[in-house]
Amino acid sequence: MSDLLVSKGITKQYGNNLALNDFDLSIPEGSIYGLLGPNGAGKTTFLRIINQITAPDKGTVFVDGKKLDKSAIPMVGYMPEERGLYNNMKIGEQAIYFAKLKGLSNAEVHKKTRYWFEKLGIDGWWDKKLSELSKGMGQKVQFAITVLHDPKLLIFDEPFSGFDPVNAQIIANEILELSKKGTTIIFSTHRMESVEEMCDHIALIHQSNKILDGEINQVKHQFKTGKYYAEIEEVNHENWAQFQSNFEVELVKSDPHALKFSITKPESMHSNELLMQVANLGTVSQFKESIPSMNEVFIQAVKSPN
Amino acid sequence: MNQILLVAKREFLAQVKNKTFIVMTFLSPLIMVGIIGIIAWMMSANTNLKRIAVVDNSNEFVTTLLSSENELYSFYGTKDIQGIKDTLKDSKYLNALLVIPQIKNNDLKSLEQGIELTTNGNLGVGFKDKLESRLNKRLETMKMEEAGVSHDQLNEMKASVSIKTFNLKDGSDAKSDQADYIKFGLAMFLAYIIFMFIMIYGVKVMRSVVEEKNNRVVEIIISSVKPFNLMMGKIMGTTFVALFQFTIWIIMGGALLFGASAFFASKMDISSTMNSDQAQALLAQNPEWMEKSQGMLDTLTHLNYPFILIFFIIFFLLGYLFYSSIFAAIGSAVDNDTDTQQFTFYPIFPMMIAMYGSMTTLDNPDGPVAFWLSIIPLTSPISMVTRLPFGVEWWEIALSLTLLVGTMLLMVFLASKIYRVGILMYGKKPSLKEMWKWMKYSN
Repeated sequence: MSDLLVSKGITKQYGNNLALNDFDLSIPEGSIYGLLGPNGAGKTTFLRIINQITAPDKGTVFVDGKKLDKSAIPMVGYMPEERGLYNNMKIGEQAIYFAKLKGLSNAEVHKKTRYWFEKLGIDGWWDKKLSELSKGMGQKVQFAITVLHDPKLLIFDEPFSGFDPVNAQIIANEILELSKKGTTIIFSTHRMESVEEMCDHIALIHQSNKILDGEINQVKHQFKTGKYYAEIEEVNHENWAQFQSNFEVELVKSDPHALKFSITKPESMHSNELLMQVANLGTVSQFKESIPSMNEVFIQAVKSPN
Repeated sequence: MNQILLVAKREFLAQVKNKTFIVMTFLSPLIMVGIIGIIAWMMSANTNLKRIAVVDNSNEFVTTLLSSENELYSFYGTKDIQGIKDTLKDSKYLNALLVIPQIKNNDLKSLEQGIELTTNGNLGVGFKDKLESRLNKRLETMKMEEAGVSHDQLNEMKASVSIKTFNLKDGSDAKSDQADYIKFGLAMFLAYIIFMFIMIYGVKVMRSVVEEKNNRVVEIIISSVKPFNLMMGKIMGTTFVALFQFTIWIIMGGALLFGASAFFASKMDISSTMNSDQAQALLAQNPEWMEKSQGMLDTLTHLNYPFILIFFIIFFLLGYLFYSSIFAAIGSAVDNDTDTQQFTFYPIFPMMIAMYGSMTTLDNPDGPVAFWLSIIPLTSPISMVTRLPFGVEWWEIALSLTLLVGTMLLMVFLASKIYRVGILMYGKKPSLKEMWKWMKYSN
């Protein structure tokens, strides 16, 4: 898989405030890439640089192997965190206006806008103004405007903030469908759990620096603590006492019929061997490796010097 | 360029389709006409009929004090004085009593000092002056006659100087002193148009920027459009709106004028023909009037209209670009309409100086104040225009234009820098110092 977007040594400073520091990133084509980090880490600055809203002080961005310039604008669809629509304009006209600004021809504009309005079930609202729409409708229009010029790269800043669960799901499904068709997606958010399931690659940004990036499974693998989680029913209490003295056990919940606990696996031991030991305790209803959430990974990564 | 046009088109349509715009465009000329009508009506309604009782013991002023539409003179004898005074005290009907003493031994001096006016209220300053000048005229004639000057001789002796001015730099035609007033009127009219245009439409640009910021739509737009193009598109779109509105007004004004004149012509068909005959007779009797109206006409026809119009448009567009870019920058820096007020003072201030400073143009169109105001770029779009009808040296126009174009480009550049940073800043009202810092950010 080649990289659709590569940034090299991006540095951006606002007055005395360093927003991005020597920032390198490679976003593989067709990936769903999560740009994760707390508020003020520099995510939005990076997105604005990709969208050529601001230029970096130092460093270069390549899109599709070419240095970023005007020709990249039609290739990118951007839904910023601060999003909105005109109040006093019909939504159909707005969609056409935005598509034309992206460089679409007259004929294409109408075809594509109609297509997306129908797909999202908002075509009956073409002549309505924003004030006549429900919030969910407005969000769908917003999404349609972001994607209707068929960008190769779609960027969502805080993608699902402000969306109700139903619309969030609809939009998420649309995004996944676009991804399957080969569109590269960037999610930027501080709510890491919201995009964790969808992303295949991530980068963690903290205080203007990238602290970590890569394929999500590898990253998580890297931060595994060697802990396992198990649930046992019909507990053999004798063996349980023995087990507790042999292993480092953290009880999560216990009642007369069931035990829920996590165990730290000794490094020399194979996980299958551990499972055998656990099986002695009673009927195993669950046994799994504890994979850290992105939140935990982030906290770990920020704590460790590297 | 294509993007600027797209933005301009949207801006134009959005503003023109706005209900307020439609209402204002069609109502404001009517409102203007209404206001002018009300003012005219109030002025005429404020002059009421004044009734003056006159006791003329000299018997010399019967022909002087002729009753007219607003003044009614009635003559009484000496014995009535006390009675009239009593009535006058609380009469709503009678306004004043004028007593003119007898002439003793042909001593006109005693007459001059002896005339008394008793009133029961305020007659107004104008009325007393008018009365005095009428009595003066009659007395002068009487004195002349006493000195043995006949009426005809007297008429011949009347001097009426009217200096004809020739400006060698400005064609060699003679011009009446009306010329300067006409030119000044034209100058102030042009300056006022520029001032109003910049104010109204500059603020429109600002509003529209604030609106996009408020709607949070701006970041979506600038992911496809360069902030500079967005700003220029807005300014251009608003310019088209202004031109559109002006055109409608001119057409409406023309139609109103045509309609009104047709209406009055049909109403006063007979009297107007009579009036024009009378007017011609009057003009023939008063050669000065002829000369004056001829002078006015001459001035109006001899003005260098292409010169005035071309430079009016040039200064107008440059000034508008200059100021509306400032307004756009202000709009980008703040979050809502209320916050704009503090900053709009900065662009309004130099325009006010230009407007009021240019009033001195009448005294001396080539004087130092007029000169410097028309050279300094902040004031030149307004001040130079006030000098145009009087004729301006080419080098002055060249210097003023060069400076204005330079500053305009610089201003648009700086404003676009503030704009670029400002439109993405939410939640706080920046200080001028901060805006200064924004200008220095690299893009």
